[in-house]
Amino acid sequence: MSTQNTVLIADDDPRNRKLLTTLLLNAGYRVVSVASGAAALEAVASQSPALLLLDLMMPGMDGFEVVHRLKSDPATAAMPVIMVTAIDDEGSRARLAAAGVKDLLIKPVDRWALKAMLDRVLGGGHGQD
Amino acid sequence: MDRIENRDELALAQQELLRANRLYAMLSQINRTIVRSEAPDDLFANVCRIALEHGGFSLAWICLLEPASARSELVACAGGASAQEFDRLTGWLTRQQPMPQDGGESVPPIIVNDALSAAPVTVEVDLLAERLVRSGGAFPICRDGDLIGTFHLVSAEADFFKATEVNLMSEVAADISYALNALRHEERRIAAESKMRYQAYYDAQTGVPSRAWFEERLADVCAAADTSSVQVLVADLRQYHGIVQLLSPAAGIELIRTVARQLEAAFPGLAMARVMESKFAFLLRNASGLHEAEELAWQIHQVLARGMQAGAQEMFLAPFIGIASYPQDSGATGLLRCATVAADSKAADANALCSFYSPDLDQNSRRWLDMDSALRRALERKEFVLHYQPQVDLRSGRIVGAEALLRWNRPGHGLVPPMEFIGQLEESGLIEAVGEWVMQEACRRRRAWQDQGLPPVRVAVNLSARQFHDDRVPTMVRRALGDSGLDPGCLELELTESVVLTHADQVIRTMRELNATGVSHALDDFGTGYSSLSYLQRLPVARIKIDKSFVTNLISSASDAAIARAVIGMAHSLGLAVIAEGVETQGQLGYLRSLGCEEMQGYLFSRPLPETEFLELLAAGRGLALSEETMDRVLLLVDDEPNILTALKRTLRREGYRVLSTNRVAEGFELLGAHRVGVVICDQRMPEMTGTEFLRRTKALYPDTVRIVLSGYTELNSIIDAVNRGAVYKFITKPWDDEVLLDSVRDAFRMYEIGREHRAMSQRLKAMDPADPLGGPA
Repeated sequence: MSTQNTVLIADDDPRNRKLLTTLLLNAGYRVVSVASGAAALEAVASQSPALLLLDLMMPGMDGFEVVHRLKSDPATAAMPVIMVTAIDDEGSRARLAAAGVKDLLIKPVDRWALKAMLDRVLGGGHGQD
Repeated sequence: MDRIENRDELALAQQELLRANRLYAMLSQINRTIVRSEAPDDLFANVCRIALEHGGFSLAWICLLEPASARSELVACAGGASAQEFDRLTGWLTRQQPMPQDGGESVPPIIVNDALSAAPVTVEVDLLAERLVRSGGAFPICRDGDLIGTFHLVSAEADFFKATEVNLMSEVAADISYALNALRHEERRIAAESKMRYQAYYDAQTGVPSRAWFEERLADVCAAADTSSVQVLVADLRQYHGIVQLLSPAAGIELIRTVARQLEAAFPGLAMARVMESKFAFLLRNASGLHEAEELAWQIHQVLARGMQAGAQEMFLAPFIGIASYPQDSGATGLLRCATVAADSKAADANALCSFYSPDLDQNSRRWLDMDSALRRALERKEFVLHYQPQVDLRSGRIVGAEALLRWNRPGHGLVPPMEFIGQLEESGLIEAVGEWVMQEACRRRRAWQDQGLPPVRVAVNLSARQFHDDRVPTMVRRALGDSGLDPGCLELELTESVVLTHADQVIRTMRELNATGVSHALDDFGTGYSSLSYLQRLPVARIKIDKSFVTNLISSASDAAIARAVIGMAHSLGLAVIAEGVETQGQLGYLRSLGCEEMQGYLFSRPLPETEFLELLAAGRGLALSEETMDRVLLLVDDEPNILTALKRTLRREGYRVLSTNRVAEGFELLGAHRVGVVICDQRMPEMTGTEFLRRTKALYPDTVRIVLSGYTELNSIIDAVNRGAVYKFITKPWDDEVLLDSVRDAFRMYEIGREHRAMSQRLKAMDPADPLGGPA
């Protein structure tokens, strides 16, 4: 069972975690945030979030590897993942698309872009007013 | 002041004083929260809370405008009302006097001082009564000059918002706007930093990890306690370079991307990186035996040997795989090299598809041994020499320093460039002895120049990671200074980021120790590794060097320009100077100067020189010629038709503009870098790229320029789009009317100059109070 309005944030930079956390809390979501790819996988298992906002580049296990592991486990394959990254080059886009990630948020994250993407990916209405 | 007439007036005056004091307290608390807030939403929530706690308002809330729908959305509130009630109150206030959406910072606040008589009172009369709303105000919040939201306040007192109150609350809203700009600026900086790191660790063409990533992962895996063996496999695509020569560059990229995708799909979860243009490396951990590595090599070969689609053609890449094992063949650092040697080797069996590393396979090994003894002799026979590359100050144009660079004058070979022997010096352990010689020689020579009465310059000496293996660097430096009698202030040590990172604690200790004696430090190759502000802050460096790789594409690549801008901004915010390496063209020079870069070295001024030639340059007082164009109105014309260029030039020169012109886009970028161009006019239809595309790139690189496009009527659609996106200020249709053209150009320069004055003023303001980035009364 996915927890309807829980969003998991994985980013090694505390400043980015802070920014996304406040935006999401304010939009009415429950937020769990972690600082590494390995911790993200654990949190996916223990918290069953509705969505993962994933930083692409983290030391140790990077965002690509996290996605690969999530997609290869039937229990988590369907969970939506949004990549949050400062880059927007063709090579990385192509690699992400091949890994099954279509949604990309470019840093610095814009409040409205985040909101529009959450509405689209979660179908809206998960945040409470 | 009038005498106070009676008790009522006295009471009223006291009440007003009390109210003003409350508002000042609120302003001061809000400024405090502004300094502490790390994210906009925290700031909003705190501001609303403070308005109630200190300002005595009954309700306070902040709405932001969603740009797409222009709907305003509640993001923070304080007071007893529900979200829905806040929305209704927002609507009620807005209806009093709609706020223009595009007015930016000049939008006036909305003020209602008598809620019960303000129209349309009937709509919300119950709500106003229930929530005790007697006065209300809505104050604009802006970011980057655009209206992005409103700060609302409601009081239970009637006539609350008099001139003083309105001014104070407008000031609060302006401070919030200022804080939002500062936070956004910080977010952009963090993003630029992260982009820079990304480019070092991932390959831009395929998105797969880079060599730097692979080497770090390899070191981690080899160091892990539960690692018993590691195999590195390197797959070389032997036909890749040949194929790329045949294809267009775009098809080459498509091909390598296909290769990367197929490898990833075939070996999900296996650590893989593109370590060279035509080579992919794989990491196999704790294999049960070499047969497992061989099996993997066979599978990799299967994937790569299939025909790959590139454009319309099917290409065969002729893969060959090299395998090296840890710990048998090498330690962690040499393993990738061994696997690469194996991948490059010629297999004895023509049908073989892979080869294991072995020392005699290493065709370089004999040469390596010869070289080793030659290098050992070189030190004894004094075959090493130093060359000096001048470092030039970009304000005065004078030589202010010289980087000492090692060269080997090898008998029978001539002057050997450093990349052919530095690696081996490091591997063979000779680097320490040679490093000591370089330090001694540089200090000795610099002292001799001083004795000859030459102008004082800094001498910069490179230190390598290997020299930090023991604690001898400080002793070595002190000895060189002592032996030569050189003032430590004349010596600068250059360290690369990787040196600092590999031995962080020790290096920082050493740097501090040397810094205390007067020796300065520069951080070399900045931007190519894990450059982060947090570690830069800990380093006692005076200067950072921007790597040549960013300087090369500075004037044509917006992303390289953005990195250079970010690096320079970052350095300046930490009070560090910046020197750019590898500056080769006037365009690069002009752009670096416009960013405020302090110094440069590169072929544009001089290559590294033998000492005698360097000293001639120094003695002659030769400097870099720097153009000053502050007063000129410089205009750039880009059009592929020479006739049009001539006609335009004639018209424009009449007006006294300095006109630069070219019929090639690439040269256009070069001119933009080299000169302080105010206005750009370009033709829409050019063979290399469209005018609007050229101007779009110009805008990204030089946002201050004012840009005009010349076009025929048929191309208007694409131009209107460019106008709407801000890339183009005006378009002029062909054939043009001279007077209309001249008018437009005059207007354009006026805009450019106003913008420039505005920027100069804000810079002066910033410089006046550097300690208080957020300004405002605290």
